[in-house]
Amino acid sequence: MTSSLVLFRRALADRRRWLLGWSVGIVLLVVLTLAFWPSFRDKADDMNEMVANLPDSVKSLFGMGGGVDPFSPVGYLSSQVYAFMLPLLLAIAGIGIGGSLAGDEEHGVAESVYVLPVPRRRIVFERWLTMVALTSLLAVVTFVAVLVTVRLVDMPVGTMALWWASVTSALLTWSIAGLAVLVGAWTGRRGVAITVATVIAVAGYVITGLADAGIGFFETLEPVSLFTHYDVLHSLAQGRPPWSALVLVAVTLVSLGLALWAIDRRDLRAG
Amino acid sequence: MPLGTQCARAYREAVSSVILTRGLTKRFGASVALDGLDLDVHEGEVFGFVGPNGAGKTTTIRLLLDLLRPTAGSVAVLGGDPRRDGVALRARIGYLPGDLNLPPKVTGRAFLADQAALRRLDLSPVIDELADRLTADLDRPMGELSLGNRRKIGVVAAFAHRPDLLVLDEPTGGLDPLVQQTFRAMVREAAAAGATVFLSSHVLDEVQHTADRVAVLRKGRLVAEDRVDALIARLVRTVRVRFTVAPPGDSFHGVPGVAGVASPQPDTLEFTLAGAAGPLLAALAPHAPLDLHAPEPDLEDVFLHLYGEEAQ
Repeated sequence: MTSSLVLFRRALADRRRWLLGWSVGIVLLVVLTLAFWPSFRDKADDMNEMVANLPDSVKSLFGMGGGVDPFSPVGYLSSQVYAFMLPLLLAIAGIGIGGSLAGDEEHGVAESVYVLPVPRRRIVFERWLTMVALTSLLAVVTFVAVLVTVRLVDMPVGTMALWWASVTSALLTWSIAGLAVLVGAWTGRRGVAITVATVIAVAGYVITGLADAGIGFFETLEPVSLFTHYDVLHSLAQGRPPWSALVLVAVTLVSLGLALWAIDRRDLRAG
Repeated sequence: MPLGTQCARAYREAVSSVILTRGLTKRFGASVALDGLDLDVHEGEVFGFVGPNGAGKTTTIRLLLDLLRPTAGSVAVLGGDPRRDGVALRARIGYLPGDLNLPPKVTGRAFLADQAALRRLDLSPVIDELADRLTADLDRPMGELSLGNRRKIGVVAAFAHRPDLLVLDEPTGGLDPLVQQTFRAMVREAAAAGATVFLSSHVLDEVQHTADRVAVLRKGRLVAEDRVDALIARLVRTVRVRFTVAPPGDSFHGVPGVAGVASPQPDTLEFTLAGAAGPLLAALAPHAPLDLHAPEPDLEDVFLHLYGEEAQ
């Protein structure tokens, strides 16, 4: 009889297998990626020489910029897990859930909820919460998988550094997937929601990567890129998140607020 | 009319009307889905809302439920504004959509439990009772059910909280005849218990046998609105009379209500009757008719007749 977070709980229950599948995938990728670290460590000098010959833009795009040795523990974790692979996976997962708000509306499934004595804003909020909860769980799975694997391969990285790196990844994911919720609430179109969030994420990744390599045009755009505020190297190296992560929190909250406002201002789509 | 009297009248209309629309208009870009609809559905009546596909019936319903917002005009449901008072109003409305889309992976039982929880009501005994009555399967994922079985779950969802207003869009589509009978009984019981029923359908038979009043919609505009029997009375009907020896058709010219006479067989006359039958019967009596056949007009005929008038 309780009505607290019914939609959230239903959305979680519907995604049990989804969560299991994504968790297994992330664990496998983390374990396989970090299992190679001992071989890279042993040949770090040769590898560094090879990497040194790469253009700065390429190094930046693959998370090997920032003046950090890419085969040091922190450099390897950053370039191989946190700079690209993990944000990519979490963004795909989060955008999928964010886009499902509009997807349910397009398929007509949401109508059975919108005709209930429930404010539209609550429906949007509980789907947003589903996205936050599930991507957070995936970030925690990543944290545990990385923590266990670095210990197994004898990689000297602090627990708090790994924790904050995963938290920063979750914050980036919320800000990207929150845009899918916002565009979905605004337009009721899943395709548009997913496309806009994906384009903003990919564009941000490229802008920040090329700006780090010192390319002037991209340096001017750097502040608007979400990836600029996702300074995971800072989290790994300092063992605490960068202040710039607050920008990701702000973007997440502002897009949620706009989504709650937008859903009340339009016709809902028929299935 | 003095302003006070106008206000008093508007108030009376609002309190006795469960659905009240004035000039309700909905446009989607350049296309006009609903064009200045005036509807007045009274408390406790079963109101039929009839029209072919694309006439604007579902658009009207979606406006009542605040799924759509009007382009112009006003709409009041249960005395409230569907947008401003939407949450409170929807607690008192049961809705069965024509195009029912249910989450495919969820069982009917879980779906109905969620709906009840979102209404903050404990409805499990009522849900079981209604499901038994409709022979609904609540324990399989709804994506595995036939259309008819999914609609049974939709019917349970619409009726379970005993709403003050039932909005039923093409309700019996996909239901087998036995379940249709049960459904009609449920509609009558709900009305007897004081609920108002807004029954939209293009299946005229369904409305004819359930509704007190009917509105006919075409291309977004109201073509007719009346009691079912009054609407039928407006119909031009055919009366076929057999005699031992048929009198000349000309002798009936000038009889009130007789719009035409034909003689399909030597012993038979066929009258086209518009209006009351009394004058024709009086005129027939001296000719000792052997047999008289006047098929009961159904709403389909009214429908075609009204559309015909409109087309002309």
